[in-house]
Amino acid sequence: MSFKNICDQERQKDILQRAIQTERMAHAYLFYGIEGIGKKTSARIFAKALNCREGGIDSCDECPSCVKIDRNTHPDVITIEPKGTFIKIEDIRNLHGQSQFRPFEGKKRVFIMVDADRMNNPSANALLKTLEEPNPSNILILVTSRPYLLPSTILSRCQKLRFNPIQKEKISRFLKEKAVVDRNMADVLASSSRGSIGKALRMMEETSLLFKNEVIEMIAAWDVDKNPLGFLTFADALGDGKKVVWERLDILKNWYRDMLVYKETGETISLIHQDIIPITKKYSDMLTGSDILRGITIIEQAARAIDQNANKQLTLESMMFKLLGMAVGTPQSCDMRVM
Amino acid sequence: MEYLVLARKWRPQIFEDVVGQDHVVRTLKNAIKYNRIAHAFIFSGPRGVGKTSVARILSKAINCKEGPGEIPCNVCSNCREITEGVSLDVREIDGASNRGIDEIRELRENIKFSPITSRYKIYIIDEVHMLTKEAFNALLKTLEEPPPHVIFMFATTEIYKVPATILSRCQHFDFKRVSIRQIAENLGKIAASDGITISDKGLLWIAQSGEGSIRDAQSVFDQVISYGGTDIKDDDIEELLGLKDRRFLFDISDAILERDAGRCLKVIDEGYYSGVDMKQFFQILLHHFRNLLLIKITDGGSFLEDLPGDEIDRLKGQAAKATRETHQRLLDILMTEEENVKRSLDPRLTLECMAVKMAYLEPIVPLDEIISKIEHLEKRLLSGLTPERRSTPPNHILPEPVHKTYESGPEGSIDGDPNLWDNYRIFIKKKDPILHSKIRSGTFLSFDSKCLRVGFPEGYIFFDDITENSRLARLTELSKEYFNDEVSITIEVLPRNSVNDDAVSPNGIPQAKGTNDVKNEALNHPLVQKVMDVFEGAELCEVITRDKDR
Repeated sequence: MSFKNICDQERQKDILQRAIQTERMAHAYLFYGIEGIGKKTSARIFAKALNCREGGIDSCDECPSCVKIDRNTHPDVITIEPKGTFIKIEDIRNLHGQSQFRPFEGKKRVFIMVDADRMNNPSANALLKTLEEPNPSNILILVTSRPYLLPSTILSRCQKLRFNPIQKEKISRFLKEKAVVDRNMADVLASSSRGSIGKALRMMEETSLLFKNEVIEMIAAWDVDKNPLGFLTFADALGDGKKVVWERLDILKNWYRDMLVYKETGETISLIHQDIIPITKKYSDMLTGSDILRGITIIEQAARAIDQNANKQLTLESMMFKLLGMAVGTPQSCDMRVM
Repeated sequence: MEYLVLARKWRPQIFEDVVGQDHVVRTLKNAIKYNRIAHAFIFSGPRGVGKTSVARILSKAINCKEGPGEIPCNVCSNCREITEGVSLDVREIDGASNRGIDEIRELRENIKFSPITSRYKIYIIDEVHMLTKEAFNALLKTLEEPPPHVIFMFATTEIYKVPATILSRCQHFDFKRVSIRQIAENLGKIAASDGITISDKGLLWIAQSGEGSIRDAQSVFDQVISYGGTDIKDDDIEELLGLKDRRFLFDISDAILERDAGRCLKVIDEGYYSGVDMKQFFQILLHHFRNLLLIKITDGGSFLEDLPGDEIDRLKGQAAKATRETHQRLLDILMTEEENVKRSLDPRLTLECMAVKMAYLEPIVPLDEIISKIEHLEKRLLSGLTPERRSTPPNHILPEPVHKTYESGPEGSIDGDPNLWDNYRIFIKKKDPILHSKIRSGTFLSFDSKCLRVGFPEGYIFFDDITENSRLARLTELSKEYFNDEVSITIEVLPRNSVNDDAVSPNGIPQAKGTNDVKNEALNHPLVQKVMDVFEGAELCEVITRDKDR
């Protein structure tokens, strides 16, 4: 991988490459932005480009240095990850110890700290001195998706680089080229991923797309007049495991969000579930905006209750009752509400 | 030579270079001049304002071979060693990594040896707030009376974590945030000496982004330089500083105040894809609406000083778009959602919902306005409408069969005792709880000429039970006891819908009594009479009735 393989993030790449070109590298960087948009990859490529034997502003991917970094065997490119919940003070002390010497073989020793926000308070404080004035030839790159959790003393010592969520079209193109998916699938994945390539790739591997289609099919196929008790089956079909239910509720919630967006903007570009626009339109016309808002709250409450180990079946059924209360305005459903 | 970031390259080396901390610098310089140097200092203040730098300059000034003087020479071996951080006599310790009692014991062991090349042995402990409680306590004795050749300097951003026993043994210097103007001047100096062209406006923007910390501003400046080269355009800065985020802020608050939910969603979408962190955006939105409310309350006070002029104008424009009550409620929504946004795994969705909720908010009429309207109405009622009161029909619909009896019977005993039905039921409850539970849901229809008429809704479950002769006989018996008179009881069936309407006032009394009646009633109240007696010339101006909860 080299800079040109990274999807989007033109400005960020530009800043890093210009820093190499003009030799104005800061000693501490903070890469932040949502999950799965290339922060960690960029950090590794930056490390490669800095140490590349070819000496350009991008990695060549062929010299021994680049190869070693790719294989994680380079002695001067060190990745620090949380062990368990936190990055502990021992890790920081190790880092401090390692940074005392000149790099073994590379030009720069690069520390890449993944999930830097997981440093606990002692670790963060222990890092401060090193972060402000590390020994020459050391570069620290902190990577995080939650920069606001880091203390301001850390933030003030780093050069901050914000990574953006990636436009839908670019994700879709990227998926088509790199991951060999067909066109429709790529579009659907791109819009569901909300700008995160990592999420799109994960969704492709997992079965979440399948889930989504199931949920949506159920909504679409369910006819209150013919099957008034359908919502019970529906609640049942939301799954067994906590995680599965969570995920499906998320899909349902996003669908409600889509209805809201369509209702208010009348546009379909920013909808998450691009594959079921007609259904979304249909239901969105039947509900008022505040109904949809209430629906989202109801689903959120149910998800929280399940997270807190409430009875799954009861919670889901009562959620469906409440949603149904407003979802369909036929007389039959009115009667059911009285029941 | 290796490239150094601006904050390191331009770290002040003499007191004169320290920006915006005149109160500290002057005290220290005078202390050196008059040879009154304390043995322990503690420097506190926000990040990046010069605490560590001042500690280093002070050690140089004290230990300089040319000195001790107010201005360290920065040439002699002592000064150079301190700058490079290799001096044997000036030890800079990272309090956050060496925070235990063992490190402090070691320090105490070494303290007794006199300095090697300089006058004083100086210990600078940075981030001192991270020392453990035991470590602090182990330091106390040494700190109070150290050997004459030892000076301690502590630096911390969190002074409240340092125990009072430590604080009382040190000279405490509190560093202030640096003003935007001073930061901008400092940046300007750097730009000039590094041959960088940048507009004054750009410098101000960068200075502002530092939020009072000179290091923050310098590292932003660094970033701007590495992005824009030596010739920096305003656009570069705008882009890099995320000043466009502020634009989203105004766009969305405009949309909310104009109650355009669709535009809110579009702004969020746009902001999301340009990388605005949704949780952070929420925070500035919260702050923004707080500002709006403050403007509304104070008519734009001095608290807005840290905002640029054109933003203040826009803020004022937005504040004028809604009433104070609406602003208050918008802020309320934001505050109740704060916890949700913090916990949310999908902050964008939470933010979207919240924005739409805010946009849906119906504008409300201020309470003062409502009250003044009511007062106005009251006056009209008092002056003109009073005589007609009796002929105005009660403002709720009574069940069909009763109409006549009721309308013709204001002189009936209801006016005498408006709570007749309630009292009657309480009486029955005392005497016969079972019977009471059956007649409880009955509706009082009328009471006159010794006949009590009670209605029950159609299909009432105990209807047959009550109309049974023995029950009626018992009821009549109890009624006789209650009224002290022969009273006949009539039970009627009410059509379903009329019962619903009637449920509003089960005792069958028109709820809106004339204002005069209420006033008289209040005047007759013993408490009110007592008040009138005590305060001469007291007047009854307004009577506010409480709703009877049922």
